[in-house]
Amino acid sequence: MTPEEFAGQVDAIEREIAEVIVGQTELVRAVMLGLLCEGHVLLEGVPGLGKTLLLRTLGEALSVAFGRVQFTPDLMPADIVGTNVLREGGFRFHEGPVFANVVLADEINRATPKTQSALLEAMQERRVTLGGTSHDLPRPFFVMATQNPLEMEGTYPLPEAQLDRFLFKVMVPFPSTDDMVEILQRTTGEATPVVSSLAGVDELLAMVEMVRRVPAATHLLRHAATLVAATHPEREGALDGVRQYVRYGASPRGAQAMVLGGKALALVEGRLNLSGDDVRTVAALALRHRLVLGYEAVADGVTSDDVIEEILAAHPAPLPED
Amino acid sequence: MPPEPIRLLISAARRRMVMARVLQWSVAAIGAAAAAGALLLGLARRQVLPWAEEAVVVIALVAVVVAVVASVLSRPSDSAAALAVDQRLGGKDQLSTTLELSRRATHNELDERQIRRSAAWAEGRSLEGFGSILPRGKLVALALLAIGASLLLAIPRSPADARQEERAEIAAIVDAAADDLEAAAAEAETEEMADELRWAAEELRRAESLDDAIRQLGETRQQLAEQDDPQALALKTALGGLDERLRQDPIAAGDDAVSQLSQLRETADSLSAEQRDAAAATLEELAGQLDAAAPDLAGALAGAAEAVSSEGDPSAALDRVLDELEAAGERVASAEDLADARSAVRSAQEELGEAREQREAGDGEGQGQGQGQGQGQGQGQGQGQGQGQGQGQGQGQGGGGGGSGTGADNPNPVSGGTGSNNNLGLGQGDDDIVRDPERGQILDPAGYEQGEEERVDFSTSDPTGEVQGRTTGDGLRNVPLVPYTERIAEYQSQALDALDRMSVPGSLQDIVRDYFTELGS
Repeated sequence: MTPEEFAGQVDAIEREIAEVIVGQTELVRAVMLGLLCEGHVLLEGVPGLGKTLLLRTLGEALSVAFGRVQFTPDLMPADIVGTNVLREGGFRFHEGPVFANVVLADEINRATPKTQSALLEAMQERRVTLGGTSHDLPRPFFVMATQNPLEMEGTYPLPEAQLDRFLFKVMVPFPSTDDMVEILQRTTGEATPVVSSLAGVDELLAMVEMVRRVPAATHLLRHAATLVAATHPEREGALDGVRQYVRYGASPRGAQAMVLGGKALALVEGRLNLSGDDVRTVAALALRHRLVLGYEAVADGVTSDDVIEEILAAHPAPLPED
Repeated sequence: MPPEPIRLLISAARRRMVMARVLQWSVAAIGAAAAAGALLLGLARRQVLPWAEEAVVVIALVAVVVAVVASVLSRPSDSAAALAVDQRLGGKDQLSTTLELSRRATHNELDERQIRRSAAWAEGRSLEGFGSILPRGKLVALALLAIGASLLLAIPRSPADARQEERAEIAAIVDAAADDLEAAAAEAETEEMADELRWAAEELRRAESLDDAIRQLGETRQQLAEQDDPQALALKTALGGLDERLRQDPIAAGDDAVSQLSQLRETADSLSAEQRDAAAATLEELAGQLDAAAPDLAGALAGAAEAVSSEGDPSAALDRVLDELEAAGERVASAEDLADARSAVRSAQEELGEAREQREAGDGEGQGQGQGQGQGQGQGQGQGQGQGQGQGQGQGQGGGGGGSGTGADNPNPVSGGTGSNNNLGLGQGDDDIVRDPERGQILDPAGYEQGEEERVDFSTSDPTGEVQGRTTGDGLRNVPLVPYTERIAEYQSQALDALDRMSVPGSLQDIVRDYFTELGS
């Protein structure tokens, strides 16, 4: 696969999704970037904004195994990873829905923390261990999770360790009026859009591997590291906003997410190298769920995005190595 | 090694960045130096820093050199230049990435494609849009502001320097006056007077200002005035009269009194009775004339007259006369020495006074600029030449053409500042007293008759100001005139007595004393 074919394939998938999802181009692009990085993506938004539809459409556009888990308070871990069942003279492992290339974890924060943590090993190690036996998950493996805002009833906030395993966290915005009109036209009429499968497992893996081969200059890696370091309030020279509102800064996974996401963005836009703009573009996606804010931030109405914006403003451009 | 187009582009960008940095740092250095110079020059306006201007120039030059050297030494690397090209020409970090890739030993297919794509992007790319090499406008404005401030402080004359120059000028004036005093000391007849003048010169050199110096000289004059011998002039006049009388009617061979009396002493034994009587009569007459001015000498002359007329030996009496004559001569010489010293001190004081007036006129000139030209009339002391009778005091009238606009009435032909005051004094006088008894006649107060009222206007000046006045008195009728040498001592005595009784400024008292001293010399 050439870079041009890569960009063309992504464009085709996005256009296919656009047949179903009206507007939300940035949301679709963010999900695509997570997919191309073989990273897990968490979508947050109020019910009814098309989160599940987007992920389901994405699954349909890809000729890959698609699994879906609807998280509920009574969902058990075995319902996700599978269990050993007695069959024909012995116990045999029955794979759960997590054994798929694309797993949709719908309303993940409605399950109890115990059940949420069942995804932990699968997301990080890309395998499941049951009864002392490990079972590898297929490649590529993506977890696309949706969650409702934490302040809603019947939700269990995801633990920081699990949040950190998501490559990106994407906020789902409310559509514009024009987009809503288009949604109404598409969903209340007679015709139902049909999504074609455009890419198989092999193609997807090739794209994922190509993303990792995109060259990145050292000063850009340093810029990503600098941005992550700037989220830590205890560091010398931390910004006032960080000191005041952030309790814990982002982990190194945040820098990895920025660089990988930036590489994918460069390829999607037809470029062959990572740029500073790529890193900064995906900074919010990669860092917002990795910042643990203090109660002062809640009291002042300050969000992670506000803090990230301040950090980006304070570190405008990457500097040369020497 | 990066591809040629990338190398060329990076090199060009690097040169441009170096040039821009040289200019920017130089301007910043000049601005900083100018700001520091402004501070230094501001300080120099408060206290004397004669090296301030030169120091500012040196600071600026050093700053520029340091800026140029530092900017060249810290020239940007290839990586920095590549990144600058990426950022300024929209390269999206491809040039900097390619530069780094080209330094790696191995490349994958995507790396190779990236290098080729970057080379194509760099091929023939112009640096137009890379940014001007000129320094930022705000930096230039700040530098110009600092330079302007420095110039504003440097171009106008520093008050501290002006004060320093003024002090130097005053010191030169005072030194010149002190030199005059020392010259007078070298010519003084007595060591005591010479020491006194040298001491005055030393004190003068220690003066801190013109006023101080003038006051110092005034005190010296006062001290010299206290040593004044009021009878010396009368004595000198009397001795002059004695010589004159004996020249007209000699009692023995000789040109003056001492030689004739010495000759008389030697030849007394050989004189006839008539000759001895004639000599005795002359001596008697002289004793009568000198009775008031030199009583001791008069007594000695009377004794000598008696001894000559008698049959005895007049040597002892004549020796006493000669001793008295010598003593009187020494007294007169001492008084003349004192007069010379006072004259020297007065000249020095007048010089300083004139210098002070000139300086004050110069200051007034500076303050009065813009008021236009003024024309004034003033009265000044006339200086006449020629011969005339009596003491002449002329009234001078002159046009005070000065630029000060105040019509300064300074009769002196020099003035400070840009204006010129050329007052031409007109007057008559006789500053060269002719000692011809026929011409140097004077009123005999004892024999005048009252006449019509007479009015005399006078004006004079001294270092402290100008004095004008008018005296009226009874005129004279049938004025009896006698040779002034016969009455000058009496005039002097009365004048000095009047000075003691009246409240007259010391400087004017000096004028009166000097007047009589000059008449007697």
